[in-house]
Amino acid sequence: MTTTRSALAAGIDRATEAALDELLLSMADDEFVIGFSDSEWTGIAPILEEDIAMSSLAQDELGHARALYEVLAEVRSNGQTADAIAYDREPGDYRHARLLDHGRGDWAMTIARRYLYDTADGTRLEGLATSSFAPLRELVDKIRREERYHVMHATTWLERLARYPGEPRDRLLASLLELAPDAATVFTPLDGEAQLVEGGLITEPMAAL
Amino acid sequence: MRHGGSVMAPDAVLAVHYARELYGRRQESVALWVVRRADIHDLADPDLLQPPLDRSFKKPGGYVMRDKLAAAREQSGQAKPKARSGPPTRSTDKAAR
Repeated sequence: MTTTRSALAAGIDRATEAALDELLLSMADDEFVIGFSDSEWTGIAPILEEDIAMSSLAQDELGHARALYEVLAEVRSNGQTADAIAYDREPGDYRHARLLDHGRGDWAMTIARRYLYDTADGTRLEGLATSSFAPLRELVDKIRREERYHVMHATTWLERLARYPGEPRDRLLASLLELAPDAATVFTPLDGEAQLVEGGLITEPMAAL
Repeated sequence: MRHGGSVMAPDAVLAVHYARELYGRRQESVALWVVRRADIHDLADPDLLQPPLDRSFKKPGGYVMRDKLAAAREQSGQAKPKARSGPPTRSTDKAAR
């Protein structure tokens, strides 16, 4: 067990650091898992253009995950790389929201999940835009600029599936019903959340978002 | 402006999304214009665009001004303007153009 503190964690007490670790890990895992699910459309999306679009969105999410894992690796400063954090864990140790645990599903499921997640993630990112923890605040600023397009894409598709009666709307409704119980799990309270709020690292508790 | 390429999409909104992904996702674009194929009016008649007669006089490079300027100076008795002394700086070079 190392006793040296990383430069990033300097000025943060141990309990807050543990909570920050939990926040970064759960956010990174969310982005990693949805990026992974969406990448499964590569080669089989409804049309070529959408294949490229969805693959590109998946790459964006994996890019966000990597950036978050990198901040986490620096906070930990125990020699563990971002890749090691991302891949060297047992399935049960992943901290992503249950909303993202439904598998790829059909296209309607993918759009429903993207819409619910992007909306929730947008709110979470908004709450971090004024974080007192500069590395996260600066990263969130960049991520939000990309996520704006993700919301546009998901909303565009959601509207189209909802507009057409029959198979498009039926499949969308079935997916939304399946995901509904887990829709708010992106805001599952974190261990030690009170410390994060107190230190100004997040503006509000997850449940309040 | 350069033709980026074509996309297939059910409507204009998705066409713009797809244009962004196909022709802008690698930061190779600063703006994109998307129009329906039916709204493009083209001109490809070689007689109108590549006429067979000599049209070099329509290009600015078709004139060599040096000899004409020298003749005009001689006629009016004006001397050739002096060359600038020293190497031009970036700003004066720009202003001279």
